Amino acid sequence: MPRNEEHQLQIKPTFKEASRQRFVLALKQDIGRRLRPQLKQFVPSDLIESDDPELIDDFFQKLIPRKIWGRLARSAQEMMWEAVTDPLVREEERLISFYNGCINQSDSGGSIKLDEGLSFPEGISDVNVHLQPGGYFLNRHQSDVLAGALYEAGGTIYSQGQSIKANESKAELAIRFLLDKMPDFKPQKILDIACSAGASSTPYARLFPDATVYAIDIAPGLLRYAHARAEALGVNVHFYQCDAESIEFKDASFDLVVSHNAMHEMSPLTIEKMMLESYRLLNAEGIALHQDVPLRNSQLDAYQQADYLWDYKYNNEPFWETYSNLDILSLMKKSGFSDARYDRVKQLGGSMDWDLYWSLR
Amino acid sequence: MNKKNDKNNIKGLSEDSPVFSDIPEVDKLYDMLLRTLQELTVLQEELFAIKLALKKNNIEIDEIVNDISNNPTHIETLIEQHKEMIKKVIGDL
Repeated sequence: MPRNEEHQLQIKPTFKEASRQRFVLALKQDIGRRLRPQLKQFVPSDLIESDDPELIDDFFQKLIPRKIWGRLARSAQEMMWEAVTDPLVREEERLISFYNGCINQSDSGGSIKLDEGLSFPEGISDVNVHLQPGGYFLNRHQSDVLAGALYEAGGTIYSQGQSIKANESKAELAIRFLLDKMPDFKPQKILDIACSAGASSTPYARLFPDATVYAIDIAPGLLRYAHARAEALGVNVHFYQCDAESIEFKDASFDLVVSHNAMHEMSPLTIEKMMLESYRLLNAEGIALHQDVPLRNSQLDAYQQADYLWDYKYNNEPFWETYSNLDILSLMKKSGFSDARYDRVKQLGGSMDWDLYWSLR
Repeated sequence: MNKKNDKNNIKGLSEDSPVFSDIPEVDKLYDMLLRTLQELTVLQEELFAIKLALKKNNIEIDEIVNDISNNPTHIETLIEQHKEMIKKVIGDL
């Protein structure tokens, strides 16, 4: 199954729109792969050996090639969003109409339940994460699906820019990993926490066809799109608007609780509460698996840490740095997962590694 | 709630970008340079498509170029297209 599954909600860009998207992709690849590594040559070796990312960052602030690179990288990200926003806004009525049709009649058996009274978390609801226009909480009307549509369309170009191959999705990697360890594992109830546009929820429903899959997120615009997307793919998933800190399901009601690329966009307190909820929601034989980016400051040298500060500051990654320093295994153990483990797993047929934090209950 | 189908109402598309060079005008120039390159890419791709079409139909490109140069209506159309591109690249002040 390809990582970016094709479905009828995806907008076919015009020739000019596609040209602009291809330019952005080429630009992002050049800025990331060719130009970014060149910056290291301008940093004096005594600074690199100082083992102090703050000192290197101070130097970067005054370094002209870094300023030029920063300008180009920021503009490339802004242009990426513009390039995907134009076709989506052009076809927005169609997306809305498809979503409204799904609410009235679900062919796959899936559902969506929104909670209008839910308050949004500070630090993320007021930030356009990754510079996504409107942010994850874009919610202009009761059928607004644009947050999810932008997330998927922008994410596709971003991933290609990062050389993340389409061979195996994060969820497929996680399932492969679990079945490799436990070939007889057949979860009947699965929960995907912070599911965003639902790209990681649908593979669980497909690869465990006997299971009931639930997916939660706090952002309504992401969830509406996730529901419409799952319906477009003919996959049965039940989406709930819910805070990862306090999940409205009964104790011990799941066999598998997962999250994908969610922790690096959460505050440490939210991650801690999500781990407690994961433990509470799992039955005695259940498994928790939380996947995220391979970003551990303890595994990076000072130069790499200073280099990544750019993303934190200028690509609106509010929890990038705190996540990089957080001891996830300790948090899991503190939540009750006494046997919590960590594995870094290579994507099948790709160049990307993903971090998996997992445990039997 | 904002009305739908209006990208000007999407917060973040029109927000100011940070200044990296200490001089906003320098940042703006770099940004404009990238957008110029982007529009050139569009043209390059269109040209690529046209060349493929001509080749498929055994048409000589030199004949077409001469026809365009000698036709005032074509010239006027081209100038209007250039203005459109300039507007796209420079945007508003």
